[in-house]
Amino acid sequence: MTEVHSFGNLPVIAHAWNKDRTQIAVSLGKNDLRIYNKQAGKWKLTHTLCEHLSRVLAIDWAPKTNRIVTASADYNAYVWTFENDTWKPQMVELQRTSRAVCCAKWSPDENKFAIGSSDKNVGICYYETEQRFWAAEMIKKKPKSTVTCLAWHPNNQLIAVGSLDYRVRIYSGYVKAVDNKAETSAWGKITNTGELLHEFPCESGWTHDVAFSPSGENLAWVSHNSIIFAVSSNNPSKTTMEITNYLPFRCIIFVSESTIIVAGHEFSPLIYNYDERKGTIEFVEKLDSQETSTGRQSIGEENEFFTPYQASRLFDQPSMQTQTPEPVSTHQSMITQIVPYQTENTNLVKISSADLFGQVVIWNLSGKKIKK
Amino acid sequence: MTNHIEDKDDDLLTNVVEPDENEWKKFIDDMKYVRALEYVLQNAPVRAKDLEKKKKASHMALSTMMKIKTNEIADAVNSIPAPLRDTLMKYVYKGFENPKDYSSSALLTWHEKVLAATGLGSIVRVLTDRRTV
Repeated sequence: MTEVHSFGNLPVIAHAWNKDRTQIAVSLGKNDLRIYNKQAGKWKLTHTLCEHLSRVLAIDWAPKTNRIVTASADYNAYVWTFENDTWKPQMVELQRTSRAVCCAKWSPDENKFAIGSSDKNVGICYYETEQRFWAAEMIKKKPKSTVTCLAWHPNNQLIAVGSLDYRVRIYSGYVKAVDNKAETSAWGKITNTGELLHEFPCESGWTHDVAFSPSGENLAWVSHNSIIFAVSSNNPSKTTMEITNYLPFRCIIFVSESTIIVAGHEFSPLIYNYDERKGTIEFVEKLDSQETSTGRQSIGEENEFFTPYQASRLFDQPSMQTQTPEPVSTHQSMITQIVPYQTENTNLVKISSADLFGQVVIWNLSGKKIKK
Repeated sequence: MTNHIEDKDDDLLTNVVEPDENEWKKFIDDMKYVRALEYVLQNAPVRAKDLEKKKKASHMALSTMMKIKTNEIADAVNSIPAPLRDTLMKYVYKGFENPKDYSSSALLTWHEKVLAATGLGSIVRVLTDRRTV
C-alpha cells in the first residue's frame, strides 16, 4: 500500500518529484539541494546543487519545462535548468527581499512562479526574455507578516497566500509580460498584478498551508490552532471551519473536489470531506491504518526493552499509559510537506509526504473513502 | 525593517461582552452550578482589553468550577456545548496560575476531563489564541 523511502536521519524540509517520478529533489535542512535518481529500486545521489548560503526552505520542480526553483533562508531564490548533465543556477532578481524566502511555487503553466518571504513580500517572478534574467514583480498591498505558504489557482492567474498575520489572501497573479490576457475567474475580476481580491481571517492562528481544489472553486487552509478552514468561490463571505481535536496541521492538499488531506504534528495524515452546500468539514478517516491495528501489539513488544525502573513507572500510571500510547505509525515525526504524486482524471490517486526523520512516504489512496 | 504586526485587529475591538455578576449569583444560589459555568463561558470577556474585567470573570468561572463535585465533572464537561470547551480549557490554565486560590488537584481533574472531550487540539488553542481569558 505505502512505499517508504528513507534519506538518512536529517529532516526533509521540502521535496519535489520530476515528471516521471524517477528523480526526487530533497532539502535536508542544509544549504544544498540533493537530487536522487532511482536505479534498480534504490536511490542514488546524482547531483548536489550548492549555490545557496543557508538552509533551502522550498523546492518546486516544474514537470513540463524540467526546471527547479529553490528558495532559501539566505534571502535568495534560484532557478535551475538542466543542461549537459549539470544543473545550472540562475539567480532571481528579488530586489527588495531582506529576509528568508519561505515558499516558492511554479504556476500551472510554468511560465512564472511565486515566492513569499519573511519580510512580508510576495513576488510573481517571470523570465525577462530581452535582458535574460528572472525578474520579480512584487505585490504592493502585502501581508503584514511572514508569508509561509502559497498556492496557484489552476487558471494560472490567481494566487492564495497564507501568512503569520492570521490571514489568507487571494491576489491576482497576472503578469502582463508573460500572460496573454486577464481571464475571468469565479473569485473576482483579475486586473493588475497583486490586486487583492479576498481576505479571510484565521481565528488567530498562524497559517501553515493553503491549497486550491483541482477546479479552483474551493480554497482550504490550516493554521496553528488545529483548525481546518475552507471557503468556496460561490460564497466567499462564508468561511467554514472545523475545530479539530488533533495537534496542529502543517500541510493540506485537495485530492478531489471535496476531499482534503491534512497532516502535521499528528503523525498520520487525516482525510476530511468538505461539503460546500452544508457548510461542513467532516472527518472521514485516518490515512495511516497501521496506527490502530498494530498499535497495541507493538507496545507489548517494546516493553522488553524497558529498564525495570521505567517499567515500574509505566505500571504505576495505568491511566497515563492508556491516554498516550506509543504512537506506531508510518511517520515517526512531524510531517513537513505533502505533494501530489500521481493524478487520474483530475483526482489524486497517490500523494507523497515527508517528515523530520528523513522519510518520504508514498500513499496509495485507492480503497480510501474519497468522493469524486 | 520591523517584523512585528500591529495589534489593531478589528475583531478584537468589537463585541466586548462580560458576564453579569448578579445573573451569575442567581444561578449559584439556585445551586445550578453547571448552568452558571456555562453562562460565564458564554460571556467570557475574551475580546476585552481591560484586565480587571478578565480577572472578575475568571474568578466567577473558577469559583464555580471549584463548587462542582469531582464525580460530576465529567458530566458537566459533556453538557457544555463543544465550542465553549476551548474557553473552559483556558480557565483551567488560568486557574493553574494561582495555585493558592484554586485547588490544583481539582483543576487537574477538570483538565483530564476536558482533554478527554476535546483532545490535544484545545491545549494548542489555549497556547496560540490571542483572545485570552
